[in-house]
Amino acid sequence: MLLAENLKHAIVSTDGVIFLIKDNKLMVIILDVKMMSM
Amino acid sequence: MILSTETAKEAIQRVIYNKLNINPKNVYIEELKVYSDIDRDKRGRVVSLAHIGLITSQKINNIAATTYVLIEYTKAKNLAYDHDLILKDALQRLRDRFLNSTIAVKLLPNSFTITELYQLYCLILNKKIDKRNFLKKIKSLGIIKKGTEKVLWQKHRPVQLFEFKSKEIKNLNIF
Repeated sequence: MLLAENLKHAIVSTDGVIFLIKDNKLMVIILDVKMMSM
Repeated sequence: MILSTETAKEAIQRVIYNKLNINPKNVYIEELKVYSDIDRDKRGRVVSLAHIGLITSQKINNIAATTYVLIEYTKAKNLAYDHDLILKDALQRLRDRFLNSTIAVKLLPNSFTITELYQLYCLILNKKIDKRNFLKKIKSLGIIKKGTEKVLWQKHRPVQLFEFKSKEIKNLNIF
């Protein structure tokens, strides 16, 4: 119960990395990511 | 964010559909890890259930171009929050799964040449594998079969196509 009480204010999110092969390279589709610099 | 009316997997599928315009059924999704560092998001307390997804490039032709980044994995750096770590962990998971399962089935088209399978392994593991030993092992595992499309013509020479015997991922030791 204490654990649940502590967690009730946390937001639960999902992050995802999708992999695929394109032009013989391993590519990633990154969702929900703000690219800060590349 | 996960809505109160959906599971984590359903949330991922919703995002894939809404942001990429991809049928989520075309993406293999696997749970990666929970990220719960207290300060991982300065905006508030956010626990993230990270996933990895695999898709063949043939399935992303109509992908929406506004809400995602498609980039070679080595160039995806300096991401927001703890996403560099998530990407690193995702890549490690992918490599582990390649060594211990037939997960390659989710990244290859239905039919492929044995060289394409070999090159995929070299690419994912980021190293040159002994080709003869690799092919010997793959054939001994009995996980692929000659394709229904028999050959692909390359440089005027017929090349045998193969298929995985099952589209389901089988856990076994590849190396």
